[in-house]
Amino acid sequence: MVKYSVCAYFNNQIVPVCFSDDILNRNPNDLPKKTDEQSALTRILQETATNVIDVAALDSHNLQQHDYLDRVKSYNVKVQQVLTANKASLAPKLKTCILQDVPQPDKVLGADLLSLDDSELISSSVTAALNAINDIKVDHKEDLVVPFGLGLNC
Amino acid sequence: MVEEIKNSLQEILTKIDGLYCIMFTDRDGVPLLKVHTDKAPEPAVKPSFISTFCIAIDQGSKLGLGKTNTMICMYSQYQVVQMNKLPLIITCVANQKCNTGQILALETQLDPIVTALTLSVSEG
Repeated sequence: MVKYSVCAYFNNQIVPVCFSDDILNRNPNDLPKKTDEQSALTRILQETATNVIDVAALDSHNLQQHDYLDRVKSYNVKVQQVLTANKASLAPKLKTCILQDVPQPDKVLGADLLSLDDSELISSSVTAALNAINDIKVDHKEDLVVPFGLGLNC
Repeated sequence: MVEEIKNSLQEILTKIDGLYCIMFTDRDGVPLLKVHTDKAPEPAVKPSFISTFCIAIDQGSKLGLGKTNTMICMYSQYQVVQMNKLPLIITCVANQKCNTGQILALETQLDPIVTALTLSVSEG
């Protein structure tokens, strides 16, 4: 008997081969219903559409003028709302420049100089601190390396 | 807040030599936020032009090289850099001599704005 085989390839996967007489021998109640067939066809169509590069579809979409205007309006409102709601998290991220403008530079530049006493105090305390750091010594009283188990072998 | 963001974007426009326009649009090219100088070419900011990117990346993803992140188009007088931030698209229009790497580096800087704007698209 001649057997007609049906097979299909999707995404390099082979759908199990199904013989025509197998289908005929089945109970009529087991036959796929029309809706199943329809959904299978839809599935095949969808899979084909996702796998095939469709150049013809490239210019199929066009937004109507009134749709466009409606959307622009609704976006304006929503963007305003959303950005105001997220202001706290967004504001610090907008600053990309480390340097900042100083409104009155003459005040900063014309500030009083550091007094001589303060300068001497700073340098003397820094020198004292440096001497203190240099004076830190480890005063070891016991041997750092202790031989273990040597007494047993002797 | 919108004004503050626009000012910050406007500042970016002045910092990158030759950059004319930064646009945040949805996938159909409807603008959510847009800053541009008067040198920005009119056809490049039209929704029909911007939405082509979306269709192109949909088809391009079938080439087996993964998702399309950025598309750079060089024209004789202009260059258009589009970034895939679906449901949003960032479109940058510049002149042909502008430093493309500098535009691409904007991506991280623009990300916080994209995150915020995505909310306004998805909520609708």
